[in-house]
Amino acid sequence: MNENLKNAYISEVIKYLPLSLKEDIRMELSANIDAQMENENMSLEDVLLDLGHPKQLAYSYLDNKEYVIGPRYKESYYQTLKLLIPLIWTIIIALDLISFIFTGDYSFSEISKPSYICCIHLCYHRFYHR
Amino acid sequence: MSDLKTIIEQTKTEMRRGLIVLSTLALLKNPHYGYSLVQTLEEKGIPIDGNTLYPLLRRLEKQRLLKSEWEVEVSKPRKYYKITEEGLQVVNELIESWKSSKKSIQTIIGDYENE
Repeated sequence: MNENLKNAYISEVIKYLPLSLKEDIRMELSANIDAQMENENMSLEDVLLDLGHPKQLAYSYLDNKEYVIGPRYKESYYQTLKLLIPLIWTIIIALDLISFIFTGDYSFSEISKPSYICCIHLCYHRFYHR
Repeated sequence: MSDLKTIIEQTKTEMRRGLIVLSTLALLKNPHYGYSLVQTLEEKGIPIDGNTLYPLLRRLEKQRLLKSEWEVEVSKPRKYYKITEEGLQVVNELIESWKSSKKSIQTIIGDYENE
């Protein structure tokens, strides 16, 4: 039971850490927790309370940097962004064109204006700044 | 009142930060594993939590001031840290700086208390 709680705590800590650190920190933390329990006659619960919130401890291992998007999600976050942004722009522009074709109205939606500026900007760099 | 307490605590933490690095490096002339260093620091009057010290040890190792070794012969493997050549250079400088600051601060405090 206690072993389970300890493993759950440690897993929660290393969840936020890069792969290269996980195994080493898992073993080290485990040994340090055991040593503190033995030497101070503390219960596992008290030792874990001493160590504090697993997420907080994990952040301390990451040079005290606070992340908005943690290392665990960073990669998939950027991948999703790269996929989503052009997709959403394309959809907005397509919808604008459709509405233009059917209504003959030039006033494109507010939300699409930044997309046009970005498109023009991208084209400009593509064709004139090789 | 609680505001003053916060200011005091923050300043104490700032003052302690460098001294903990100095003490850690100095004590690691002899190898220690994480928890045994927590204990040793506490015995010497510098209480520190594991959640501060364990990450600090890793940071100092990354900065090549410490090196570590797993002791695996025993039933429970432990990671022992020891100071490196670079670490010795750094700690010697830190000790010199601490000594000279201590002298200056003592003079200032002496003047302050005698006024």
